[in-house]
Amino acid sequence: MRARLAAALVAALVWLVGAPRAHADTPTLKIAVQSSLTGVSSAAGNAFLEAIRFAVDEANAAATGPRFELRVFDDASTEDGSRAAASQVVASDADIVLGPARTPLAISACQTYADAGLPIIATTLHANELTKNATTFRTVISTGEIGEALGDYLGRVLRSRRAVVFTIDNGYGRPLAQRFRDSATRQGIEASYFSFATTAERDAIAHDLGAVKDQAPIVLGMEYEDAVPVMITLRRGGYHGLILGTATMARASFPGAFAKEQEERSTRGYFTDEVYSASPMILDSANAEILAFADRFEARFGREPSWEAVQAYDGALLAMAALRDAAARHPDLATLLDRGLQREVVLSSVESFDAPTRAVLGINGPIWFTPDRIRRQPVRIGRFHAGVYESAPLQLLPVADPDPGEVASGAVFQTEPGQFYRLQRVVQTGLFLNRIPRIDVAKSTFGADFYLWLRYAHDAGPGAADPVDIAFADLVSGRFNGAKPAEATEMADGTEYRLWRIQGEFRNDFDLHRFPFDRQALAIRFFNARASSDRIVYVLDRRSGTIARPQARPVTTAAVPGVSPAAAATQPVPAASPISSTLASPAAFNILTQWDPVGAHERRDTLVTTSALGDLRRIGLETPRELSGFLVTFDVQRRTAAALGKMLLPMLLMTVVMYTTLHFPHALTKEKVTVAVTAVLSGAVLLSAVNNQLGSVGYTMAVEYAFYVFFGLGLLCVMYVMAFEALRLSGRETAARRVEHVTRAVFLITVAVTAALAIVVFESSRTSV
Amino acid sequence: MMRRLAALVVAVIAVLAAPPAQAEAPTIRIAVHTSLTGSAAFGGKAYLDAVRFAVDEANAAGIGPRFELAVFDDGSTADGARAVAGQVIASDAAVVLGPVSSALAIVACPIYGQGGAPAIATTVHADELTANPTTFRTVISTGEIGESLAEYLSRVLHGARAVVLSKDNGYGRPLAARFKAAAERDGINATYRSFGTPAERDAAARELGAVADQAPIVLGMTYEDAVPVMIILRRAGYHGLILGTATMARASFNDLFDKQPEAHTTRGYFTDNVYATSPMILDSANAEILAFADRYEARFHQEPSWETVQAYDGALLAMAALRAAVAQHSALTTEDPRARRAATLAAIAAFDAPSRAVQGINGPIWFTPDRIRQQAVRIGRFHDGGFESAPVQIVPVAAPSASDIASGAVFETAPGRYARLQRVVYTGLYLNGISHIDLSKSSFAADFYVWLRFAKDAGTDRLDPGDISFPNMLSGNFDPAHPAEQGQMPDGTTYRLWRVQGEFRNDFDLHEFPFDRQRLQLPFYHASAASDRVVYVVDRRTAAAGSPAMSTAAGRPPALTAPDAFNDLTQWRSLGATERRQNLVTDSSLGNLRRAGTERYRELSGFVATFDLQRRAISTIEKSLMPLLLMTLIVYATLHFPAALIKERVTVAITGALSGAVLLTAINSQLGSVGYTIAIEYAFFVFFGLATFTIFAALAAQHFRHVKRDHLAAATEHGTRAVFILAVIGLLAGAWWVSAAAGVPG
Repeated sequence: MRARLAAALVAALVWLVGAPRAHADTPTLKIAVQSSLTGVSSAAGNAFLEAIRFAVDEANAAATGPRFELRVFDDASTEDGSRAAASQVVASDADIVLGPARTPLAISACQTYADAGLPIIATTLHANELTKNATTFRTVISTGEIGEALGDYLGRVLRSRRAVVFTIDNGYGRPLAQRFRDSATRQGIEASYFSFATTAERDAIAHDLGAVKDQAPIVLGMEYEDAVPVMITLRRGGYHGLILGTATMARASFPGAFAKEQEERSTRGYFTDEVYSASPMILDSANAEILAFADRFEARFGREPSWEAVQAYDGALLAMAALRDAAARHPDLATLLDRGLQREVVLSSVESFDAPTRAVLGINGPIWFTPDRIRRQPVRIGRFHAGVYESAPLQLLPVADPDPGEVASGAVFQTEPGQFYRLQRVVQTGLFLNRIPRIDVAKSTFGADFYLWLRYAHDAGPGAADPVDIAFADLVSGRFNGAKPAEATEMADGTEYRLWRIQGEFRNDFDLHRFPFDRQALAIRFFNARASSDRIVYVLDRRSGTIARPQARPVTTAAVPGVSPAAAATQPVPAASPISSTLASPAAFNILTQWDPVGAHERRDTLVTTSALGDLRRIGLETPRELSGFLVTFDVQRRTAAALGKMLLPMLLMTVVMYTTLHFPHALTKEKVTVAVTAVLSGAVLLSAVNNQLGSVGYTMAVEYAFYVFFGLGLLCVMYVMAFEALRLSGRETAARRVEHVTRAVFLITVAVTAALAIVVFESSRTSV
Repeated sequence: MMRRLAALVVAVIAVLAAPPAQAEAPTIRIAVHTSLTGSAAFGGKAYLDAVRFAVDEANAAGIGPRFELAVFDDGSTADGARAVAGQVIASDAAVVLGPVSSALAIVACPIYGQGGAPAIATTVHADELTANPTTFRTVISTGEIGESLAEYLSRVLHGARAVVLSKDNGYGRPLAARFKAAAERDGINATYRSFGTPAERDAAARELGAVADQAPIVLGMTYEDAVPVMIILRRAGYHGLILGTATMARASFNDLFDKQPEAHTTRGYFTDNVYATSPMILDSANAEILAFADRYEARFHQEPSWETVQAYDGALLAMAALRAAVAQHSALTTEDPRARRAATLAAIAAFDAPSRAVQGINGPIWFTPDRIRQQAVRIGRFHDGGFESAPVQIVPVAAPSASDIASGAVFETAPGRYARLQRVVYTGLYLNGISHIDLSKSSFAADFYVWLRFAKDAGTDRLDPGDISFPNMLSGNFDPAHPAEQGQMPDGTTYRLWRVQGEFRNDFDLHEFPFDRQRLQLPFYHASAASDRVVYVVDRRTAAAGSPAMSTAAGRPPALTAPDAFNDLTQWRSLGATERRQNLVTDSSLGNLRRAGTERYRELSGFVATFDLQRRAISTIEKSLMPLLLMTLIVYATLHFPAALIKERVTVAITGALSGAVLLTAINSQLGSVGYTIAIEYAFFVFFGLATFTIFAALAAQHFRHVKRDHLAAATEHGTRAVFILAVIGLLAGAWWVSAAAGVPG
């Protein structure tokens, strides 16, 4: 016994002392971050640093491979600062650089890094000219690519044959206009080009463009600082047609730039409706990896990640992968004295990611570079509606290795030699819960009655998958026929609208470990029966969420909206529900007697299969197959008091009875045993009743521990009788008395501890909500 | 039981807490200009009832300002109306509701206009009223009635000819003018006659009645003139279509012909083939109005008329305006009346678009710049003296889709105004039997007939009203495509009948088991259509053939169930049955961008039949509680055991508790998964308590004997018996109280 104890102590000591040492043994590799932590770009710069730190923290927490350390350098948002920061980075012990956050700051810095042979990863800088520097790797789309993507989108999706391209005359705007011209020429788009160098020129051109009747769609090749005044001038000039913009406009906060304008205050979206913009990522239609990242990001920072955050995170993943690779090739990399050699090794590692099969898997797709250090990245197109930014209903998605059959059918098409694309439908999806009539834990099902709607582009080219071909895998009983919607109509923006009412029983996995303190998530999920996410994505319809919810009158049973703001201000407000009224009817959970709603979530869902599934084109690409779907979960918390009262009151009485046996006189010794055994038997009957209600549960539930304690107390009472009688018969009355007192104390303490534990579990279940 | 106790406590707290809370809220006065005496007293009192009902409900909610009514009676005369208007202006009321008839309003509204008092005319149709700058009309005007009658005649009744007979006053003239405009648009060939005196009226009626193959006749007058005109027309041999105004749109209109000999021999002799417009007809009303009608019936024991609904809505509007005015001018209650009225007037005028509407029960209330509310017009028809929604209605469409316009399903009635045809489906359900009720599976088995009667043609809308589904059906044989019977009715409607047998899911509330009442519901919904395309209304024509006990609220048809429908249910007796239109109202635009801009909700059309049952508590108690009762007696008997049987006392009591646990488990397994404590469980808890108590008592008595204090032992024994008996009596009394509250007979 003692030997065992000693062994356990030694093991614990080894673990405590050994673990840090093991960590200390792993090499530490340094990554420099050049960002703008002060000055005009500090908001973007700090966000950039946050995302990188997040990636590094996650990698270090995984505790596999080398550890990473950040060396942070602030360029104060100025070119001089950038130059100074670059010199400091070169002089530091870092082997790779992430940054800077803005294009003008990168021009001189990248040159400095190139001279020092230091690899730099530009994650959010679009300027084409940057990659002329021999050590600069760009992981984001360039302005040239944005121009080309806007040209392709305008011709292929928006089917316009005319355009006006209005660009700033610098390294940002020129490549955009140039590549747009290439695309326009290929497609036969008739385009006219304007450029400006000063704000006066800019405003004069915008004024002229806005005044033209029947103006062609306008492409803005400039950053948001110029785009905002241009758009104000255009809209005020009477132009309310299409505007296509750059990634600097591609964010939900962009309409906020117009918040002070009178027109925007009276009509939300006055300036930004009909505005499309290109972006490397739009969250609503992002892949499963990004959605998972967004959850973690939101949990840490309390906000959604921007596309820049995703790019910065991916950049950090790339930098760490390169350092790991370099460290694998040179195990003494961290201790090499020649810094030039160190950086050379790392540079060659980054350069070795030169094909899809040798890519680093970023959250926004695989990262590999062309010989001119450019990452090929799909461009997403978003659009604004009433101040909300969402993915446009059709996207152009690159196809790496097209199927000849699909090329022949037109489902996959060529934009330029060797560049193939297909159209992806973005389906705006929403669900509104009418009610949950029952939850049957024993059968692992729940009933649900809800509306489901989809809004999607009418035409997505030949061979497009059908967005309504969806299936509810968990639907046990009830009907869903995608071909027979309750409503089918087309919207003013050209999208198709389908609405279904679905009533049925859904299978659900209930976790009863904490029963009766349990909280359950009721999941309603569907997947497209066939199409993977390169053809269709189901995204959350944010437009319905923006409808101002009116308030119910107190006396009416069926609440309908329409209360004027002034009237609403003074009308009774219904009790706040934890579930948004855009997602569920206020009475949706009223019929459930055992459950309270505590929350609801809806989001895009994807079934990711990491296997190539026998498709030779997918082998080695590390691009998993994602089946498109949508998931809504409703969280419910059990009303513990009712369940406890019902189940545990009889047991409590039995416990009291059992305790009284400890006070029985000697004459009732036999009865002490009889009562204890009978009480245990009653407990067994009650336990089986509880189990019958909950169905087949393979693990031990919280309530069962209470029963086990009860059975243990029964056993204690029986053992006490044995010991007591044995001591008494052997004439040791004092010892027998002591046993009796101890048993009573143990009994009471056990009951108190059990009750205390129950309270702790109950409280923790409440606070976890 | 617990809920009742909780409700009682809450009620007591509410009574204690409410007065101070209410006292702090400002009180605002609303003037009601009505006719409580004189010829219009009947309508005037009903008007006041409805306004008071709305104000009482708002005050009961206890949030925001309190409202008080200042009631003024105009004696149903023009002089009275003038005098009342002066009194209202002199009072401190910020807004006026009323008057109740056009003739009186024409006199009073200019005075309100001069006094700057906003007047809400809820039931007065005359077009000219809104020429007064403070008068807001929330009801369709006579002009709109004329226009809608022409639309209906052309689009639904496919009439190409018409005769318009109208009174030459502010009521009849706009009706004829707007009818004419619409008739010219729709290609109706119409002739127009008007009258000023009863003699002219009767002469014109006689002439029209004598014409062979007469065109449909439109009566542009109130019911006082319409009754003699219709008598003359029918007696002269004209039995064709008559289209009338809202003053005729009520079931009681037919009673005005009761004294005529033809009405004695043939019910509906004068009113068959008569259509009338109305802002609301209850059978096809929306969910809000149906809920209101239930509350109204519970208080006034009659169905609300369209005037009642309008008055209620008018009161809602007045209160919303006052709330808004208070929100903007917090000193509203202390300012002088003119400033108060100006603020209220501005608040009403601010309700100027669908997005800034007040939600009335009969749709959103907002005003055009000339203070007119755009309101849908319903068309009803008489049959055998009953008044029901006509089988096809024209309903406005706020934001039509291009494909609906292209297909003709949605058509333009005036520039920029669109409408579609809505089918009213007369629906009935007849229960053959309920074979069993399974509480543990939350289901019951039903065998019933369901029938639909509907217009064969509703324009280009290909919607099939028979495409219905029973959402609660777990198993069974309902196939909408294969009715048991189908055919055409003489009135041109299509009839379909299905026999449905199956198992239906139902939620049971077992809190009061075994004294519980349960409600079995058989709802169905149209598989896809919202209520703008089809509504299912109670078929009131089906003759009563069942026992009166099966009938429900006044005006609803009896004969919902076969006499022996519940004979198979040994544990239940029937309390009654109802059937009604059921709408699933969804307070969401459901992603439809068109709906997002205007009416942000969807109403799914459906129908529900409800059967209320009461458990035969005695038989259930006998079955489930008899063993427990015996066990209680045995446990009680141990209290009379001699001291020598102390061991047996303990053994019997603990064994009794064990038996109780087994019995409780058996009952619970019968009832399925119930998470709350049901009434009968309290009896078991008392039993467990008594068993425990008995053991304690036995031990205590034994202890006293052991320490030679026999008198205490004896006292313990006696006390225990008394407590035991009292506990049992208390339990029985509690059970009796619960059963009495639940209405269990005996």
